[in-house]
Amino acid sequence: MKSKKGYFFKKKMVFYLFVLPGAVYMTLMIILPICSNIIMSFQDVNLMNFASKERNFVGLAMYQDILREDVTWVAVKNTLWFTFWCLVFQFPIGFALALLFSKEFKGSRFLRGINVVAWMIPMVAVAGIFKYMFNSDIGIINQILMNLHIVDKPVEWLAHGNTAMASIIVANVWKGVPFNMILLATALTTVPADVYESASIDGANRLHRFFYITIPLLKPAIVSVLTLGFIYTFKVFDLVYVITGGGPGSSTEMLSTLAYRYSFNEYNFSQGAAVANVLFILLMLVGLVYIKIVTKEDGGDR
Amino acid sequence: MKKKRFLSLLLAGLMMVTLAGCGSAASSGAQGETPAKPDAQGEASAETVQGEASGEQITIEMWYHISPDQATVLLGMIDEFQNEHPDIKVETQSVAFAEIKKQLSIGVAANQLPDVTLCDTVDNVSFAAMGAAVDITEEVEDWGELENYFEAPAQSAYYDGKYYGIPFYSNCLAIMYNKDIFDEMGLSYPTNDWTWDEFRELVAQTATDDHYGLTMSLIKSEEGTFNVLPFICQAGANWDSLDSDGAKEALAMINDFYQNGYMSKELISMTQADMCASLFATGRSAMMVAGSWLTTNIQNENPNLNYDVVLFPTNKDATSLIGGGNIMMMKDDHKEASWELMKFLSSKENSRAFCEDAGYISPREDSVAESTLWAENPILSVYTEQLAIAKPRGPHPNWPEISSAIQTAYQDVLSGTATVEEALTKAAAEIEEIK
Amino acid sequence: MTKKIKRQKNIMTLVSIIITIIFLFPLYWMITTSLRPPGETFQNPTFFPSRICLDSFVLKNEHGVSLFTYLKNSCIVSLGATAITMVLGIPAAYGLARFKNRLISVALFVFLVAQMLPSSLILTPLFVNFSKLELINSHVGVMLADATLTIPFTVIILRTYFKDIPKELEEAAIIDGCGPWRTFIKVMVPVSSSGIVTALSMSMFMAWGDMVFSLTFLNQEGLKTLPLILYKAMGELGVRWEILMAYATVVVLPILVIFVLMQKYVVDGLTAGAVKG
Repeated sequence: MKSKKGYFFKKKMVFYLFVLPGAVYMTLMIILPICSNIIMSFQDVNLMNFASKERNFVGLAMYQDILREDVTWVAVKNTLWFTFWCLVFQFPIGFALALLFSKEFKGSRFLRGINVVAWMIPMVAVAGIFKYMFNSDIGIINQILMNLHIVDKPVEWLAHGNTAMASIIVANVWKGVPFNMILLATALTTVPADVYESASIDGANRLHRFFYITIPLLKPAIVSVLTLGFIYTFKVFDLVYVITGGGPGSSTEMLSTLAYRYSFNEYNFSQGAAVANVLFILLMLVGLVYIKIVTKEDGGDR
Repeated sequence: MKKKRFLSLLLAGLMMVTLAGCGSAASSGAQGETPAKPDAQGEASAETVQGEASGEQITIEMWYHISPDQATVLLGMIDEFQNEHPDIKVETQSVAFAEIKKQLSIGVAANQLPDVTLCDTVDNVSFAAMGAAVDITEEVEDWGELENYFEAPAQSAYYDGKYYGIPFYSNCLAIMYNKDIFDEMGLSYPTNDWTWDEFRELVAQTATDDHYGLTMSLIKSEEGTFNVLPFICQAGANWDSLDSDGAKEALAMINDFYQNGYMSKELISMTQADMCASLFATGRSAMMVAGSWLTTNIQNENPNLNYDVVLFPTNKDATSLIGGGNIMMMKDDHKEASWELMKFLSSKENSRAFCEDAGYISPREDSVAESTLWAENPILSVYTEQLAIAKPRGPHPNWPEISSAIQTAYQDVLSGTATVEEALTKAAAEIEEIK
Repeated sequence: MTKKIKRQKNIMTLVSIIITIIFLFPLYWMITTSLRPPGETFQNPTFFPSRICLDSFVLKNEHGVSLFTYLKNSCIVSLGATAITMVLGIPAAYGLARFKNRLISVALFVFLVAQMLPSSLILTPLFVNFSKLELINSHVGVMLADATLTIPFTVIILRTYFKDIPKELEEAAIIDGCGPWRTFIKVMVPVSSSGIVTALSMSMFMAWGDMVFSLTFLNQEGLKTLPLILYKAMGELGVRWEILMAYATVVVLPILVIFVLMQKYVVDGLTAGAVKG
């Protein structure tokens, strides 16, 4: 015991050398760009003065500007709405599948693994596949719905605000379910079987066992799956950019696509940076929960 | 077994890399420096302009955003140019149409621009206003050829008393119609003097279970603006008077077509090439708002399609909007060589050869006069006629923002988020602020 | 009793198979569409192609660039990004797992924040810096940018993994006279090989799928990667769905194959590491 302590204490400088290269790299590649984004949002930067270094300091004017624009609020609402529905679907479905696949039966491991594939698929491919499937004229989804007599004429999925939003939610849920499933399934396997056994001796039924034993035991995993899911969903970009481009109108405009549009379609880099920072601040609010989970669990074993 | 072997191989590789840093603790810090160049990347880092020293060969870089089919002739001309000027080497780069604005804009930010580039006509003035395009007034005046150009295209390169580009190709929209559908339904073909009322009636009549009445791009991009704005102009309004009755009448008409199912609902996310291939070329639409370049697409998709083209219908005004591409100079490092290239590509012969092949109309009046194609070809002659009465889009340095306000307006109306009145009032207010 | 359980298990297998079929239908649809003869995608869809047609797999596109060039580029970029991740991410994960003070907490914070950042937000600053370093139109630039996604991911997965390894193992190595670095290489890396393989293959998949960075940093046709070509094709070919789906198939297939081959490692390692954070 003593030798270990002494070792770690004496050689602690060495550990900086493990962490330092990676940390420096991330600082250069991520933290500095964030800083330059923040600085840019307080200046008036467009293509005219981007190359030159003489930029006007405009204080909070950019933020006032974007907060006055309806589209910013629409984007905030859309982003929250999108994230909410994605989580509402992907978490329970993922959980249900996790409960199924955590059981031991023939082919359970293989089937569980193969279902994770969707999570690995590049976003641009997911977007392409779903854009095709949601096509109103030749898309398979309308075809199936009509064959099942759920709808009697083709739905123009991408032409209306609500259905377009529904389409990107479906695509994102498809990619998100395996992520939820696999993490929860593993957490389930760590629940010791004897806990259940003693519970069933006590006469608890399935539902009771689920709510009073499974859920509390899984709480850490559930919280981290939800926060991570929130983060990944909230920053969605490729999927929306490719499937709807934020349209029709602004009905699927997200904060990320709006920031991109300001910067690269309208060359208003400051406005783009300001929207990006709003997105970042909102993410950080939830992100802090996640960071707290990670660091709290740290404190436990020290 | 195989899996095991793969795993051990991977680990062996891992060990090899990491073991290199083993031995002493101090060297572990060096670990951070190795990754900068992980793999041999011979061709990778950008081949920037070399040959600064005189007498050496000069390399200039040119970007273009036209499709590969259309670029064949352009690339041939560039080869010819290099033969004529052995001291100049031209490197070309194809950039996707949707990406070129972005690539140029971050290129400005990073000071990494091509010497010469093609761009959409509407963007020429924006880049000029940003100080990104090089002022070539002196060269243009020495050249003295600009008086041979049509008025509207020439205007698109002119900003604040100076020239920032040369128009390279022009086009405009008109209405294509499927003759077979009209024959089948016993309708007579539209004529060049038709009115909006006749147009409305024909769209409604030709919309059946088998095909739509009209097809036009309503996508949320410049292409959509290009398709919608002509109607607003025909109703006597323009981008700077969107809250006028004319603009409302135009948008209300388009919205009626859309809501009544005379147009496909998919148009809200379709580019012009998409809608042409999937709707008009396959005979699923009686009419289409289309530019002359789409004839190539129709030829590729369905060479047997029996179609013709007619001028836009008239309301208060008979007009269309001009599109096309300009050549801009983005850097003055090799101003002479770049200008040589621009001049070469814009010569009467080359302008004609390129535009004829690509299905465009030359912005040079003298090329058009010389060629028989634009006067006699049944399709292109209509476009030439339409071009003569077409208006420029903008020009305005903040066109992207103006266009974006227009796009939001019609998309909001079509998707049912706002009424025509609301959407246009909002757009007009936004544009007022931009102006 | 056992009979009943057996039946239950069979039912579970059946249900799982049905779920899997429904769930993986988009992939089936992608692959079958890519095999349809031209024009068939304009008609009402049928579940099977009328005949198998490989025409959509264009081996050379309009730019005269072969599909294999794009495939090669994608391999270079994703392997490069994985190599960077391996060299920077694995030691960092170990350091963060075994050591704690304020500065290290700050470093951990940096990695966590980085994982939350939408990559489109750092495009402009990165572009400006990369162009100064002549990393535009270079695979190295894309690798470096991709690594900003994969390093935090690896660090977070592996940190938990390393933490779960009993410290006694390291102590034994220290008693043998190994320094920290040797201990790391000789003991920690082999013990956590499954977690490392997971983290690295996930990193490879992430870099493989990147579109935003290669879209911004790569202009030359011969340097472009597969997802970028898929995206470009969606703009240029629009409604030629059989060709688009062929591109998508080429993007997805390598991942599918590698994943199925290595399923056991990837899934196990992932779950062992990720659950806690």
